[in-house]
Amino acid sequence: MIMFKKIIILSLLTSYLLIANGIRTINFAPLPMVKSQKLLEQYLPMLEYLEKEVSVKFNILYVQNYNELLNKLGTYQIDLSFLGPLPYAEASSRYPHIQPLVRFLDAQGKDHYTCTLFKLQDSPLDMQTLSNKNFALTQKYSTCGFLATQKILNDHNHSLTQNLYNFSGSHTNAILEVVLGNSDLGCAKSSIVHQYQHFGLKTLAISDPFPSFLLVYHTHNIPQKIINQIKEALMKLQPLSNSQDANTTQKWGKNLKYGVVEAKDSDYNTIRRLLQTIELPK
Amino acid sequence: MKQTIARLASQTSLMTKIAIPIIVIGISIGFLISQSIATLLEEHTTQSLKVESRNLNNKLFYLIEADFKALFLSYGKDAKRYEQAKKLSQQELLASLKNLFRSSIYDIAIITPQGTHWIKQSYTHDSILQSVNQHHKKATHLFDKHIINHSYFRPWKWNIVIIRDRAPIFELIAQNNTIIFQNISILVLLLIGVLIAIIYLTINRPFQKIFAHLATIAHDKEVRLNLTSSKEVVTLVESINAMSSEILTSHNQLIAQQAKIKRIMDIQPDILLLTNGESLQSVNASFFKFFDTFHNLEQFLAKHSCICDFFEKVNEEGYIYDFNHENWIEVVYHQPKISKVKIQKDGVFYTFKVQVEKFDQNNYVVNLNDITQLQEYQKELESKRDNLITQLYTDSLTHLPNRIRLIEDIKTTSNPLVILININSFKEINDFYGVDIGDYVLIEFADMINQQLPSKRAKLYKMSGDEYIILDSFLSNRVELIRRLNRLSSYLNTQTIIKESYTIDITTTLGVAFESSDLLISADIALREAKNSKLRFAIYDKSFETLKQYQNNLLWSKKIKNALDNNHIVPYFQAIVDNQNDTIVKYESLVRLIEPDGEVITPFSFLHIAKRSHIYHNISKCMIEQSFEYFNRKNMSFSINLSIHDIENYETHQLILNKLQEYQLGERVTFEILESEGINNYDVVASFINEIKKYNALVAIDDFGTGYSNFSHIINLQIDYLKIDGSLINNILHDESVSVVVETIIAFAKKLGIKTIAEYVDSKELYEYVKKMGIDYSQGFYISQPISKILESDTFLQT
Repeated sequence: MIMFKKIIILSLLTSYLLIANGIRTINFAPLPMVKSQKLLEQYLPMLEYLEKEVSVKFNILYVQNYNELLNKLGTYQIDLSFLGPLPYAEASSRYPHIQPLVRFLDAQGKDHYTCTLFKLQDSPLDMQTLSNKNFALTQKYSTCGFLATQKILNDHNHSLTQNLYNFSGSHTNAILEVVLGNSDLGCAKSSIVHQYQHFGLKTLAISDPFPSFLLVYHTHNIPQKIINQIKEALMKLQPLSNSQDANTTQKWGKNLKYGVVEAKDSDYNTIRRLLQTIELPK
Repeated sequence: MKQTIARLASQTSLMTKIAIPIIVIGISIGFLISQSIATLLEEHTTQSLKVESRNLNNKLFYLIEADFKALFLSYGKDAKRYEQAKKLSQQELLASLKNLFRSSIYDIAIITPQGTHWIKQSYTHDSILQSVNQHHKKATHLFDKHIINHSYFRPWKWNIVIIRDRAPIFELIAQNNTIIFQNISILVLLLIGVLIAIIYLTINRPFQKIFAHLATIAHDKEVRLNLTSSKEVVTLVESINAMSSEILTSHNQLIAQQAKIKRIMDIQPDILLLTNGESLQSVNASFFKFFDTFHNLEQFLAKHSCICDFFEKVNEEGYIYDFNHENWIEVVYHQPKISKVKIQKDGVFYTFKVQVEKFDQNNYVVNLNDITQLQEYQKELESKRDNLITQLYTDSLTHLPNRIRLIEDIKTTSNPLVILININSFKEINDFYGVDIGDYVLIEFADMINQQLPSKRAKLYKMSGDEYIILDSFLSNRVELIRRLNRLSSYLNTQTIIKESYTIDITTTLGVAFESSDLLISADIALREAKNSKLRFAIYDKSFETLKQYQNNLLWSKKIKNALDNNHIVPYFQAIVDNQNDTIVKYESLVRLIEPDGEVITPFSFLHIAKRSHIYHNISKCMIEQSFEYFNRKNMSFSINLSIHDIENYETHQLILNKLQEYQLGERVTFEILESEGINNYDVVASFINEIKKYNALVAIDDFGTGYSNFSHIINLQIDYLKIDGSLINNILHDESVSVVVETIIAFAKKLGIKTIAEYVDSKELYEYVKKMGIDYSQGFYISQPISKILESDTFLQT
């Protein structure tokens, strides 16, 4: 909380100085996947790079959850944001002025990711006995939260409505709930689950691939020229093939450091189709 | 002295009886209470220890979980670093827990995969830990005198065990238990002592007085008791006083009630007996009214041991017959069909309805209801009923069965055949010879028909007026039927009835019907057919036009009634023009019936049917009312059609006068009297015309020139217009003789100063012709069709 206050004060101070110098300030809000203290660690290096490449200044806004992020996108408080595929599909259906900019690659250069349904190794559960069980999920608008879990269960003729579930707040927390034995099963991004495998986690099912996380922008708030400059600055980096670029992105967050590809709105149609058959909880 | 000793003895006895069991119970209670307190203390202590140990365990669990979470979030992604950090963190954690819980009154052990770590150990041995089920996440259980609370921290496979030995606490409770028992027993005995004193002072002594008082109540004496030893005793004494009053009141009421019941029984008209069958126990006053030679039951019993001595043996249904002293009451009781006895007294037989009800195990209540008079009334009533039935089914004049009988007999006759016989011109016989002779003819003729019935099965019935019906069975042979009808008709038509000096020849017409759903209507239709065709008899055939007329009449009657009910009888208006200047001078109101589908029906379809019933007058009244009401709102002259029936009908007649009075439209209205129907009573018409002339109303003779035109009468009738019949106008152009007739009418009218109107003027040529002939007004389709509403702009201009 103290760190959060520091960010706000810093942001306000920066904004004031930038306005005084006539440089455009862009309000950036990342997806609340990690705790506030890690925000600066993950995003500041990338934003500093962009400030150098494009003559803008970034103001980082911390939002507590996905819902708040979506609301602020709708009320013009956020200019640029880092979103997962489900929040993007939801945001673009609500607000037509939200447009995709670039998609981020993972360490293997893939522009998509999966979610993993897991349990403890010593648990006797299998995909045939999934009713009246306790599920630890991430957040409502997290792709690996309700949406991916329900899709996996539906594919096996089950449903989350036959079970109990709670939103633990993040992928790490969902794993922690299972490790502590508070939940029978959990679902989180496969790459994160893999990192915690040594706690005795066992994969039960893996979802179909979802398009990777992306940067989105507010078409009314940022001039197209600046948007093009940001896109060019990010796309010219090839950290997986160019060591100099890899050096540039070395300190960037794991979700950001492996380069980008251009994002199209149609990339996220798979999510939209899923939303037609799966209703998110109120 | 002796009494005092006895009283003390009795009191001591009571006290002993009460006190000893109470002392025993008191000591037992003391023991049970002390035991219960001990048990409760043990249970309460155990429960408290369980809660405390669970809270302690949760505290430990939370500390371990917090440590783990910190490690998980910091190093969880890196297995190697996590394992290194975990080892150090666990050692640090165990050390800090030992320090933290060193003064705990609970023994605490953490069983890890590496071994057992005692966080605090005072008097617990390792062997107790073996009772812990290490797979349970959280549990509390008792082992020997130990409370063991256990939880399992899964990520590290640590079992946290909290132990508390209850033995010292239980020893302390046991030591105190004896003291508790002694104290409670003494307390209970003290209480009993106080209790006995209270019982003696507040209950025992007052009760002695109450018992003595209760003994006086048994002798129906009302003595009030006064005691004030305690509130409860006072309440009890008050209750007893109230009770004794109520007992005395009830006793008196019972006596009064018994007297009342005896009075009720005595005023019953029926004889009531209480008997066991053989001898009588009790009887009411009615018994002695009937058996008036006895004044009381003893006298009766001295002579008769059983009332059944008086019962006559009547071998009829409902009467008691096979009986003796022993069984008569059982016979009546068990056989409800036997409900009457006959008793002879002074040579007279009386009939009683007898009812027996069980009173108690041995006795019955017997009710003897004298129905002698009732039976006589019943016989009289049956006789009257028979007479009425005979009258209902019999013609009073000829004593033949009547129409009602016939209708019922037709239902039970196979292949019924009816022959309707009508005496021709019977009205003339009645008019000529008088009703008495007419009645005589009807009676005599009935005898004549009866002598010539067509078969042995045939039966004669008298219908209304001059009609008879023979009901027979049709034997499927039409030729034979015709032969018999011929014979019957010949016979009937050659009969002569002689009465006094008169000789009356009878002729008849027969209508015959069989194989028809309504034989009487069919026979009537056949009779009309025979009369219309001047036949002696006719056998009903479906093709008879009469039937169609019947059906048509029925249909139109129904339509007219519906139209009247729904205001669908309305006036239409046809213009009448002045032939001199071609301008409309008035409108004739013409009746129209509007069908539910909106079709407009002219009177030619229904008026002649309506005239046969009183519906016609309703149509007339409807037209008169609507016409007056309509033209009251228009500044126009108008005419209304009237038939002689309207003039003769009192209600219609009065309505016309009322409307003339009400609307004061006399100068604008013309009443067109239909002449074509024949006016027999010109006086009535003249009188009517005189009345309406008082309102300045005008009169026209409608359809003049056809049928019954009587010029001499017309002259006397103050006529204003003659409306020349349409059939004459229609032919005026083609038939010279018709033209001559019309010219004669015009000339006749002119001489009398009567205006003429030509109707059915449907062409320009005809219009010009009638104008040329000197007819004053014209009306017809050439001028205007009948319309439902008159517009002020309506004009007729010759083109």
